[in-house]
Amino acid sequence: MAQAPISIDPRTLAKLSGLHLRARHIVEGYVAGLHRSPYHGFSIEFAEHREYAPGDDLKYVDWKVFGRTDKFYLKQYEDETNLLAYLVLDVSESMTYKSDPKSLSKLEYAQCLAATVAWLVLQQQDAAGLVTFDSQIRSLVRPASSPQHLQQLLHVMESATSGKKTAAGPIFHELAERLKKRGVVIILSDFFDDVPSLLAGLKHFRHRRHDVILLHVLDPAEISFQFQRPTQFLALEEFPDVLVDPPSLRKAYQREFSAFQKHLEQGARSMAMDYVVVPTDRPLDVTLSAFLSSRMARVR
Amino acid sequence: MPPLAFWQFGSAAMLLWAIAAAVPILIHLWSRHRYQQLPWGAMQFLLAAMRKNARRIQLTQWLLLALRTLILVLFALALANPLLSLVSPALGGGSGGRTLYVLVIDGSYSMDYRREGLPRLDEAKESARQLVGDGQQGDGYALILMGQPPRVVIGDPAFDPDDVSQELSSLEMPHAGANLPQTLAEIEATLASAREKHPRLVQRRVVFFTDLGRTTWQDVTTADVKQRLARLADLPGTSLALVDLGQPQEQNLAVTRLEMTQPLATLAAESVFQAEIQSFADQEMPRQSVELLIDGMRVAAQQVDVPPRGRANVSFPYRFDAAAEHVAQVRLADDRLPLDNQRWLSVPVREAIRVLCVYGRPGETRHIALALSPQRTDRPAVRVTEAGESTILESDLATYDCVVLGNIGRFSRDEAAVLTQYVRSGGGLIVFLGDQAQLDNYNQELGGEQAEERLLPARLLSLSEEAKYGFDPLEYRHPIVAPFRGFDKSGLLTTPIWKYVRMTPSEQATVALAFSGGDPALVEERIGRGVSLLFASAASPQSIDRTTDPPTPWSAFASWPSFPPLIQEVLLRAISGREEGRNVRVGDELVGTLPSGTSESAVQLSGPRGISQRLPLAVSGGESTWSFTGTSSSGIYEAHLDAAASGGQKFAVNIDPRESDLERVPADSLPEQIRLSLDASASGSSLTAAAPGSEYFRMILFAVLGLLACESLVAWWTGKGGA
Repeated sequence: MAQAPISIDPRTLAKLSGLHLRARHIVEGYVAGLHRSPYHGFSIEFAEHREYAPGDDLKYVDWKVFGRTDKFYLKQYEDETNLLAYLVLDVSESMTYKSDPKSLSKLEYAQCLAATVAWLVLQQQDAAGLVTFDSQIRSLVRPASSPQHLQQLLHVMESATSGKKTAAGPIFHELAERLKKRGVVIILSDFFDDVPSLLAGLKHFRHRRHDVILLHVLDPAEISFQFQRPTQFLALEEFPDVLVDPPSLRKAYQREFSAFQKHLEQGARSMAMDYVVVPTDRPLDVTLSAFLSSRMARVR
Repeated sequence: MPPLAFWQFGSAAMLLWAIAAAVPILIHLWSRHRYQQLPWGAMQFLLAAMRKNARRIQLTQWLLLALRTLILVLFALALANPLLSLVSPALGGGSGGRTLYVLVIDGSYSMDYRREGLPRLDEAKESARQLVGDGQQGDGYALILMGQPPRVVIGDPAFDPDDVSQELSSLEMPHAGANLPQTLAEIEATLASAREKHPRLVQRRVVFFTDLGRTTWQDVTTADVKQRLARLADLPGTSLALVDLGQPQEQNLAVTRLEMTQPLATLAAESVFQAEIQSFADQEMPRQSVELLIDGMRVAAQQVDVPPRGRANVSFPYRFDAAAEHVAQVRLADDRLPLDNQRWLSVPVREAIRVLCVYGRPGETRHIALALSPQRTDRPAVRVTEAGESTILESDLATYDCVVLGNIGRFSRDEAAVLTQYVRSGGGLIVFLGDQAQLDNYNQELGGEQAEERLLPARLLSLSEEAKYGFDPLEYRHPIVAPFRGFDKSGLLTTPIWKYVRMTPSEQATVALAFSGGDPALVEERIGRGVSLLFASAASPQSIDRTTDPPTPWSAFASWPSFPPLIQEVLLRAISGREEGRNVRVGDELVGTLPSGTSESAVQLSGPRGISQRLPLAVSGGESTWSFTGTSSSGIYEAHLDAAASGGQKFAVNIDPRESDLERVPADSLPEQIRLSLDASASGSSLTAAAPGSEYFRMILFAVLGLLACESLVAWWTGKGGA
């Protein structure tokens, strides 16, 4: 029977300094709560059978073949040990927003998530790469599977400085061109951009036969807009500052926001991409579970 | 009527709270500068929402601001306790606000009528005191005494019942009637001033305490009074009430007249006092005792039968034995209205009537002097002095009761001025013309165009043709010739006149006697306080028309039997203004004159009810005069110089007998507003019951509640972000 996972609260994580420490905390907490490793099924495609050799994992034995031939054959998968996971992290200014000063910003949350995923991927001896971008691609770490590679990924993630964002669509085009090897592209962003342009960029990934996962990182305040007092909103990107009475605009804002979200989600689904909303107030293990379970369901 | 006129405020000062209505506006302005600043990423959605909802948001914000301001304004309005007064004068009703009571007490002397020894005025005071006692804390009281003229005792409302009670106690009844229209005017003025100064006295109640005497209240049917009453009743929050203190079928007997048959009393002749007793009762009042008192001493008494609602005359002959200021009083036995049971007469008694005859030629006035004082006795009734023209300027005319001018040729300006001053201050002047009279000079010096400058009652035109003229007595209408009525053989009609001066009487003059041709013969006019008489022909046979051959006299009047009695009558007429002003009615002005040369600057006047006053002397035209207007009580007033403790001038002030009639106005002639209160007071309702007026603060508070709900709804709707 599954033991209830220990909640990994973003507020608890916010108290920890350093991405490494945070990622470790998540992974340990998360892995401790699982019986089965979640490492299966990362975009692995069947290639051929090979004969069993001692030491092979019995779970890859093809029992149907054994039934017919009385011989043990294992299922051979393409790139069996070299799954490529590209973590694409948005480090633009809008990602630095956090409504709760004691909690994590969207960027910090996304970093934790990315670090955790990278850790998990690397532990499985698969390769993980990292791309950070704002108005342009800020860093690109080629995928590697060595355990030391994690340190580099975490370092790059931590040292990323936030800058203005222009259109993300062209960046995705460029990125699709540059990521030549097929893999899983996990994009962590708030996607605050023109949706058609975004979708056009994403389509390019699909064209390159990448498996694309959109992790839509959002602050709860951005969804609910629960401000009461008159507020001057200082734009984090290239927008004018505005003074508004939030209660009077809440409904209209929510309408605008949900239309955006829906548009994005529908676009993603139409291109057979995974789309997961990741609110920053949700415990990371819950987010991970939701993400991985949807992922596994899709692979099967 | 403008709708605002209906609004009154219970506490208008509370309206100041409406200033609080500025608070939401200030908060609005302030909040524009008070806001938090937050960094924000999802700006494009915010901008899009703003773009699409700007108009709606602005509209709802204005709506909210308007609602909040309105709530505070209405709340202040509710605190101010607005009252919409719809006039309904019936007693009883709602409450709220304070009441101004205008106590109007009938001060006509019929209120002195006593029931069980208690005058109605005291009953009125007691009722008023009771009303004041029943009033509420904060009620105001004004007090008006209905009189002739009315007196505003408390004009600016008093709020202390003790003060009002004290004023009521010290209220004295003037011995006069009451003027309803003037009283109503005073009430209106009092209400208007109170409304301005004390706006919180939102209800006003005018309460009359009266016996409803007809003399006072008969004006109630006139258009003016009806209009005034309607105006009063139409004032917002105002009601009228009346406390009826009179009773029907009340009886009264009064002395309504007292006079002497002669204008002046002398030691030489017997003075005859005539009194008139009038009954205001429906049955005969037999054997009523009437007394004559001279200087307070009862000197004669008679008994008369007075017919129902009729009059009886009583005559008392009396001969004075000292030339001095005397007072005659006629008195009835006391009844329930004692005030009108007596009357006084001031009688300055002199030794004789002094007449100065000024002749233009010696002998011109001899016949006149003889006719005035035919008997050579030690104590003549008329003492005549004959003198030439120069005496006009040389002697003190004020010592004479009458000046007779006989055939004076012309007058200097100074002579004319002296004569005019003499007549104006009460002297008598009799002018006979003659062959010496220069008509132009007469017209110029004595016959001024203006009434103020004129001394002669007519302008002289020209001499008549010589013919035989007689007198036309003009139906004996004038008092001078009235005694000749019925005595056709007395010689008046046959008096031979051959020449006279044609003249045009002035507008104020009356013709006492005319010539047979119709031209005026004897003309009379009051000049100032004196009397001027002008005879158109000569009184002496010395005036002769020398244009004829043989020369003919102007008249044979002086030797005719009608001459002595006519001259006597003319004299009495001429001196009738001599003591004028000594006998007046309550409320009239007392005026006294002193001969010029008085060194004093003031006189001391004393009168009934302890009146004692120093009156300054005003010097004009050679004589000193003083005047006194406060004759509110009947009785004897005496004025004397400071230096002289006694022997001053005496004045009799009597009541107007009309008020003695205790007849009442019928209740159905009263206007509806007052009649209603009469019915109510008869049924025992309280006089203090508050007047009309409705309260609106509850309704306004409900409206405020509604608006609050509305505000919450709009705010919630806005908070929700609109539809």
